[in-house]
Amino acid sequence: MKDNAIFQIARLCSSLSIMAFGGGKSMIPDLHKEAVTDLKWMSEERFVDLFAISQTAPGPSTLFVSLIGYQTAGWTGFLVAALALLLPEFILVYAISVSWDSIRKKPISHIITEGVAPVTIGLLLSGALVVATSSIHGAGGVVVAVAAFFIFSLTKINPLFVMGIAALTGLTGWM
Amino acid sequence: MNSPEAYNFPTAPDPDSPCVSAIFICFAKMTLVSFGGGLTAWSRQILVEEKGWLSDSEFLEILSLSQALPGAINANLAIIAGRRLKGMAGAISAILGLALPAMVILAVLVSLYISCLSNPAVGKALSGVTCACAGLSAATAYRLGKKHFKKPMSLVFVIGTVFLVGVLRFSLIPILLSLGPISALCVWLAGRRAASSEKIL
Repeated sequence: MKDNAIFQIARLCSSLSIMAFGGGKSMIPDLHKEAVTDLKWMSEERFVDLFAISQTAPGPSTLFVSLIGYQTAGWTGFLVAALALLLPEFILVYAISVSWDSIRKKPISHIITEGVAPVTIGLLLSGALVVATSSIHGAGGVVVAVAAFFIFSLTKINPLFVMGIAALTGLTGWM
Repeated sequence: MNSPEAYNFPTAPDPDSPCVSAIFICFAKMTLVSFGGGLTAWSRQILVEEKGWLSDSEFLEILSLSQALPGAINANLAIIAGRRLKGMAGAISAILGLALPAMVILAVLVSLYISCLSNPAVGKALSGVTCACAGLSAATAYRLGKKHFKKPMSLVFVIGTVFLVGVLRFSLIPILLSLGPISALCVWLAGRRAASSEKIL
């Protein structure tokens, strides 16, 4: 039974690994359907709790799957899920990166990179906008975000220092 | 692979390329400072500003590629950047550096079964950091995009993307796969037009 669960975790995570375009958020619906609805590994509440826990941790958001693995098959599940997530992605991205290098020096690559660059910058700005609208709940938040923008755009001050100040500002409850 | 250009591939590491432990530590640091978010912004800060391993345009190129591929964008970025720095060994140390500290932290949190957000003090501090992360991400876009904001055509695509993804909340991949090629086509047409007008002059 447990071996079967581990096999299922490996299958689920490795397929999510190469299907999750756009990162962690995009794999939540599939993961939820399999882990909660179809395979009944955990309750709805447990899934939401695990997601909340993973949101607190730094690093790539897709590692959320290792918590699903842990819930289902303990520490073995945790490691199998992480490995099944990272390995197929590694092989695919590495291979594409190799083939990208073979066209990198040709004129066509200049057109592709110049063309896609504004969209990439727009996506980065959109990410900032989405984070801003979900995290800013008042004037304090606006001040911190705008101040951070100007400090990081115009100066070379270490971001860690600014993040420290932002954390302290948050702690005062001024946000 | 037997073409003469094959000898120019950056797969053979330069003598001055960083060692694998430096790459591992650099990506581990990236994960550890990204509490509260902003991992892409931190990647640029550390790879471009602190280490000087990549230029802004190289970083932008790698970021574009990472976004178009499946999986976490920052994991893809680590694999591609790591490979460019030191081939296969570099890619492996970069992805391990990024993932291992995150896994350790996840393991600790889940074994205690706590979300830091349930602690009011930690929640408040993180909310401050998250607001600053929004600013940091916007500033990263500003620094990477400086050159592109000056070109009206590029600016149209930046604003279009922000409107579609940031405001209307379309998902990332369809926008990247539709606007990206259109924008590339415009770059190509503009290049051809410039070339033909040079000929006339």
